[in-house]
Amino acid sequence: MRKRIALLLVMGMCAGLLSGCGGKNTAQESAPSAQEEAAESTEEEAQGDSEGYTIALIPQQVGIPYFETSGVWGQKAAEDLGCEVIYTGPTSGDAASQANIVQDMITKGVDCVAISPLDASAIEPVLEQAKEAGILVITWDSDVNNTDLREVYVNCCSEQVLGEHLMQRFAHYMGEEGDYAIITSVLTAQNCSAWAKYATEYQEANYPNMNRVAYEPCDDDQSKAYSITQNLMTAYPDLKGVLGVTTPAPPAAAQAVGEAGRNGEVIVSGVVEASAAKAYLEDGSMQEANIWHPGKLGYLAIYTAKTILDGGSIEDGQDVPEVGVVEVKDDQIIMTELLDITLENIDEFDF
Amino acid sequence: MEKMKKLRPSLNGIVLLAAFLGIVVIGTVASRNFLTIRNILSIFQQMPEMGIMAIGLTIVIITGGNDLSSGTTMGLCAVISGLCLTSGMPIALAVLVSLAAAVLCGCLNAVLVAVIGIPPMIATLGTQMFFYGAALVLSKGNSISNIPREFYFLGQNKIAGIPLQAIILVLLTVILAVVLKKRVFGKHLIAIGNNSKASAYSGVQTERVLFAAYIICSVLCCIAGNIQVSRVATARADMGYSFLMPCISAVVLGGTSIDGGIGGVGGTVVGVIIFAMISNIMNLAGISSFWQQLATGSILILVVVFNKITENHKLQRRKKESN
Repeated sequence: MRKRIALLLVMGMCAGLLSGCGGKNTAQESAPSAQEEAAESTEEEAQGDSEGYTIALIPQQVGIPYFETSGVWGQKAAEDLGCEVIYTGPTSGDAASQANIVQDMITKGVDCVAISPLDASAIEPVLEQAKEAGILVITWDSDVNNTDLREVYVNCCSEQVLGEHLMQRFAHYMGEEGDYAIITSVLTAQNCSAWAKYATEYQEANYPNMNRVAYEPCDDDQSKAYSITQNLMTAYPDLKGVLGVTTPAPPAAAQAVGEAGRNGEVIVSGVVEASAAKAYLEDGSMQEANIWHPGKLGYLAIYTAKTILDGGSIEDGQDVPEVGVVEVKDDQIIMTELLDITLENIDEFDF
Repeated sequence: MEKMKKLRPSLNGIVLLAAFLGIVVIGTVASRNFLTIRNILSIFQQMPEMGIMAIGLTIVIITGGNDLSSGTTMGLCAVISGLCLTSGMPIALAVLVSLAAAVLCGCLNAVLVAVIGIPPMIATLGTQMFFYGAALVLSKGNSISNIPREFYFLGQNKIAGIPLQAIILVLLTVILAVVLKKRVFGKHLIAIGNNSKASAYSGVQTERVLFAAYIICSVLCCIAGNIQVSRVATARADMGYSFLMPCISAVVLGGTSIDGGIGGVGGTVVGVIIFAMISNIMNLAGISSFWQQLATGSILILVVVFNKITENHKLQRRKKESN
């Protein structure tokens, strides 16, 4: 009798587990069922002809507004261009799990892996595998160390364009005169240093009444950027502005300016995401945030992948739909459009 | 009746196997790429790191303890090994240095838990941050690349078509399973987990056994760290950081009681494989990573609830029988 009960229990559990899993499966099916079917059909098609490419759009991490925006626009590009986009990435900032995902995408047999590497070197062994398997590899948002492993790099913006644009907007609020400081990430950060360099050069050439009094690294640490701003305001009582060329800097500078009760007297702007800038734009301690559109970056990545898979290439100065004019330099495709986020338009951006 | 008694202890095993087979079936239905040799090999290239860490953790959890520092021990050892390798040290020496560091990590945990008597959760929470901090300081927060190509064998080579790390995992699992079932040391581990005071009174040198348990766990984390460094050709302080929770889940899923005294390493490995298959299936089917967490969570809850129900059932039956 007991034996029978035990057996029944086990059978029930098996059924329960299966139906439990099955239940989840149907739940998944009900949500991304179309996607799944499409995936299967493209899998089949991929063998036959070249129609309906499958492109894996892999961010550094899912669940972050910046990358989710890229994902949404990537799917939009998929609809516009008639291909399949799988947007998936690590749920935590774990470089090895991003490598696992790439490996699974190779097994799945996608046509292209478009990746924003979490670690510029840890991803290389699997990208090598992808290349060997004949899969097109492109990078977007950030690049790998060994650039031979990828076909092109879809870059968020030209260093010169962003640097000069930052200075134009900053100088506008400064009234094109007075002392200012730049806060960067670390002195060795190639991109931030370049932005700061172009911004400063543009100021020297166009705004002679402005004077850079300090150039400080904050190590991408918001609390350090905060104390740097406090110290700068003490050391230079006439300081009229702080330009942050790394995302943690503008909010930190704005916080310090706000707490000193000097909103508007000390101008704050720079590179920062809309979500991080919102509170400071609203309380008036920050004047403007300048950044590229992460969604358009995702769109451009898919557009580029599709173009290369079709055997074409992106031309310098080409006007890409939804994205705008792009610049092509060697093996980089560079977005040129930048967003000026102010109190008026902040609600349009969800990243 | 006799048969029943033999069957009963493996009930958890049957449930685990059913879950395992269920997922294989779902995987086969969901993607035609799932049950291919290529994919199976890639799963066995991806999961051994977590598997090795999880079997180490099983040893500690069986004693009624826990090692929350296991993930960061892996990161610290990875960084140490990476620094040694890039400084031009011979490979064997670099691995030895990282193993020595792992032994120290294990000793520190054991001193806090076994000698000073701090609850394992708190002690290893402290060392978790400490090791992570040490790894960050040593690596200056950067990722260490340019690992010499000769070191790639550990995580990228295959022997007779099977990834080397999978073979290492199997060997370690077999050794630990034998130790747990057949050796006095294994019985002591379980005895401490059942009742630490009683086992001390009956002559078990609890301190010594706990030292061994925590050192084994750290050393296995170190091996996992070295494998990952080799597989991705990079060392980072945050390696293994995200492994802790999945590992604890796999240990519990595998039938080891979080209170200690019951469990084994075989179940843990099956647990890790189940988790690895879930994320693999989702990736192959092109389903968002968010669903992976949901699926993993539901499987864990289902199995744990089932284990608890059967346990309660047994207790009731025993009560009835004694009445």
